[in-house]
Amino acid sequence: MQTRTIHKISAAVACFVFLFAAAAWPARAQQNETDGVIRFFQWKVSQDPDDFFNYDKLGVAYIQKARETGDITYYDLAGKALEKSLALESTHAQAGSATKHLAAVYFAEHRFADALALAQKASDLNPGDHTPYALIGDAHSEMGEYENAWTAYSQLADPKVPQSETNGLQYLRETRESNRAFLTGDTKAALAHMQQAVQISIDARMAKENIAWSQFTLGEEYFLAGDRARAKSAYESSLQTYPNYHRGFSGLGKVAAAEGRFSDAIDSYKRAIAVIPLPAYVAALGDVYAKSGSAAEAAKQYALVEYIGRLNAFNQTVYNRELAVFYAEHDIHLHESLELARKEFEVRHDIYTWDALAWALYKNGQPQEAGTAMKEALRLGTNDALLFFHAGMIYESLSMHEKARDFLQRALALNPQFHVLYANTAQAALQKLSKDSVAAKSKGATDAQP
Amino acid sequence: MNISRALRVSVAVAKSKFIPFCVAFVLVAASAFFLPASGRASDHRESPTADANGEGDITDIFAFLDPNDASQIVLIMNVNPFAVPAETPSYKYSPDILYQFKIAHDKRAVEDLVIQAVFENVPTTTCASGQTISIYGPSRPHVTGTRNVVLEERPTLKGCTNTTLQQNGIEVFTGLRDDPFVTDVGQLNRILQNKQDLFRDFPAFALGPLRGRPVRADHTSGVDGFGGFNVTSIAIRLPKSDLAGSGFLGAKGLLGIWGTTSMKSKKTDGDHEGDSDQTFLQFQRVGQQLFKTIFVPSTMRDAFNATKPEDDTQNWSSLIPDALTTKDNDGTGNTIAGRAGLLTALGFTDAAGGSAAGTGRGAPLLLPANFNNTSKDLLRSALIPDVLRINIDVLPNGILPGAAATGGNGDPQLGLGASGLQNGRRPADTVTDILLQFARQLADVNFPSSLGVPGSGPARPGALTFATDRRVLVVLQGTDWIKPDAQVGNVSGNVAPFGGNDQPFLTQFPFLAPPAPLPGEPGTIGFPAQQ
Repeated sequence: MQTRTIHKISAAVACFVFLFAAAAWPARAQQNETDGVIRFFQWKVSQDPDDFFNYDKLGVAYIQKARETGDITYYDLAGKALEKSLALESTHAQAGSATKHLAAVYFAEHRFADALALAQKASDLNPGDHTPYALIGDAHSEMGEYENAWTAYSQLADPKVPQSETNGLQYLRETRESNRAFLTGDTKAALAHMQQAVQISIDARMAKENIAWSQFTLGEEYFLAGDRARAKSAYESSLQTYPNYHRGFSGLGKVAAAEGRFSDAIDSYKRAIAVIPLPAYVAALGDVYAKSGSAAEAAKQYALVEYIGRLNAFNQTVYNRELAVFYAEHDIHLHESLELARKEFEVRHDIYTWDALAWALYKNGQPQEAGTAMKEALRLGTNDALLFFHAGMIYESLSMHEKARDFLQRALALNPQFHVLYANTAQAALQKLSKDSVAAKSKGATDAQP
Repeated sequence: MNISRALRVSVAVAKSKFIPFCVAFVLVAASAFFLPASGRASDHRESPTADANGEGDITDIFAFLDPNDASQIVLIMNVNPFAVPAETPSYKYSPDILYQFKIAHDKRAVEDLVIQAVFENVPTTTCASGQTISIYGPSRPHVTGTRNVVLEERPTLKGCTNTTLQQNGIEVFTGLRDDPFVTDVGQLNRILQNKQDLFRDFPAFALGPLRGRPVRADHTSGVDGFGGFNVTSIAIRLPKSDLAGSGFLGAKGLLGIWGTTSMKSKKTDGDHEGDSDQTFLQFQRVGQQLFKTIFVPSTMRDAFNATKPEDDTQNWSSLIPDALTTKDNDGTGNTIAGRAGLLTALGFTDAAGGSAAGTGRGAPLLLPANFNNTSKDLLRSALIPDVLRINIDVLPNGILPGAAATGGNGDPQLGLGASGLQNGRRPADTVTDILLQFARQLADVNFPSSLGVPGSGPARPGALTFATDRRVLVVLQGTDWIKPDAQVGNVSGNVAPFGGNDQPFLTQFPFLAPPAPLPGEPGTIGFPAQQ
């Protein structure tokens, strides 16, 4: 099932690549180190087809390739290699490595419960290796079990573990602490931890893409904190580290759009899409076209996202939540948006899935239910302008004007250009609320007159 | 019960206490970085993985006299195991780690001298490699043991890495090299896990078929699990007189040498008196080939790495089996001669002289049947303290001036006892086979009573148990058959230029083979033949 799904996504991806063939930046095959590593371990498994070790390493190389290209078909290959490794050795401590790597593949495929079970098994197989706790925490986090996630992350900081001073565990610790700090509303600490993670990734000479990912993620945190200059710098660093990095281009597109440099934004998103046409990039490009008055171009991009949407809604793949939010944000297929959000609930209950559900409910005219879901989305105190915007709009629909005004103000204070389309919507809603408030007060004062 | 049956019965109880030696590398080298989930924007930015750097993970230590100039000794430490040719630029040394050769030249296994290597990251405009190396010593250390500091003196040598440097009478090479370690580690794992029985198939075994790899056309059957991988090396050539002392363990000319890696202390993590922010804590040590990985259970490895050789006898003697002697220890003819006869009778020694047809079932005996040993502690004295031993009076060609050769098979580079398993260690020495062959001829084994062979009978303390302890099967053939049958008998690196390696060794310093290329690229060597 999973394989078939991936093949269908591949077909769609190929289709999009063809559609974008006329773009100025054709997708280039990333013949790089990782290809060499894959070739090497393919050779190694041909030398000894019964050696579990090399299948594990081959699987890791495929995972890295998936990261670099965004092409999730490599996860399928990774899964096959890792399953072969485990078919050869699954009971001794040595199997811990392939087990945790397969857990990582399941996680990437949004099989969170499976990922959790396997990561726990990896930890049981080799208790001396604490790296699986990162995945255990991630899986709990995606499933909304945050206390369990924090407990798992704390295992990465156990000073009694011989691994504790290795770059690997330090990197895991900093990235997870950053994620935890961000989710619980401590943006300053999140940035500090992520800066540390970037430095460790450089010092440890991690794969170039891994360093670039760390820099990109730091850029995301800066953007969410409303610091566009540092965000831009971090995205640019990721591109210097790993040229043609699709995530770096998408980040620059976001900054350019926020600054009203629509031509630059379009340029950056096209570059990202030329590498891998992820629906998020296509939707963002459409939004920039819409914002800059190119409705026809925007419609083309939205149509592409919808194509992905139909494909993925049918095949239950990894973009459900993104599509639910996309439909809701663009007032299309609203019923389907709600269905997708609810479907996502079958696999995870994190605050962003609550947010997607809340927004879909709001757009489907169910404000009471939306308010209940939004409360769950806000429960960790996360400082995210888009969450605040959604909350503001939902509370406004519930006539909870003070709360609505508060959240909209917080959204705009945190990041005045948090979204290329909805920053203005937030401004307008806030002005309307203020006018209504003034009018109400005025009316109250008039009514109070004898 | 015949042997075949005994093997099958052992399935249920054959959960080996000891993980194979490759695992030491796997556990250290393959810890993974997982990039975290980030639920706040598009999916698919989550997920793993990149292997951690093994900058402090010592794979092997070598010590030998320069064959071109016997006044010089060469020391080599290899780190960064399983370096993949495709990732050449990413393998370096850690500026946070203190790399040390420790040399004991007096009676005790305590470092009398150390040679320290410290690395520093520098701009590529300073060094194309981005790193410098500083060598301190050889000098007497300020403190011995597992907590060390950098010597307070001017470096003996300093310069850029990834090249050969010569200063103040020493020569140093740092950089990527082909991994000279050779072992059929995949098959070793399968034997230990009861998925196979021997390194090479033995279907016509008198007591039932024994599972192993088939023989190939080139008369080999093993696959070098380390073939194609690289390591990063620190190789040092210096006058042997700089290291000489009264003699390790009281033996004239003998040195004990081991390598350590240590990480700078985090003062907040410990309360060890005397630690400062300049203190380095030892997290790995390596001496003789395979000792830790064969004899030390995985659960004890961290503890082992945190200890020092002078305590090995007290800490780890019980992990090593008794040695057979010339005296029957159980009334079944369980002597060195009895074992030699048993191995020969079972057909495990028939590759003597080389089997043209590639039908050998075992290496020739390394020790003569009349090998004269009277100590059940012979293996213990050879293996612990876990340090390489090299007699620097023995010339590179194996001739010890003024003394008779004492090597097991007449090869004077092969010693046994206080002088270790072989004299020093050269890159081309077939060290896995050396250990397998000594162990199969000398390790006391308790066979089931039903077999009626020397060693059969009730369990004996100090003996390995057949076949519950599957390490007995690992050593039975005395070779992993990486080399063609005709070369199996030669274990001491005299089969230039390869030894058992997949790349030819250099005949000049640093003696290690250049880095292995990617498969199919220029420089790829088709040895051993690919399956």
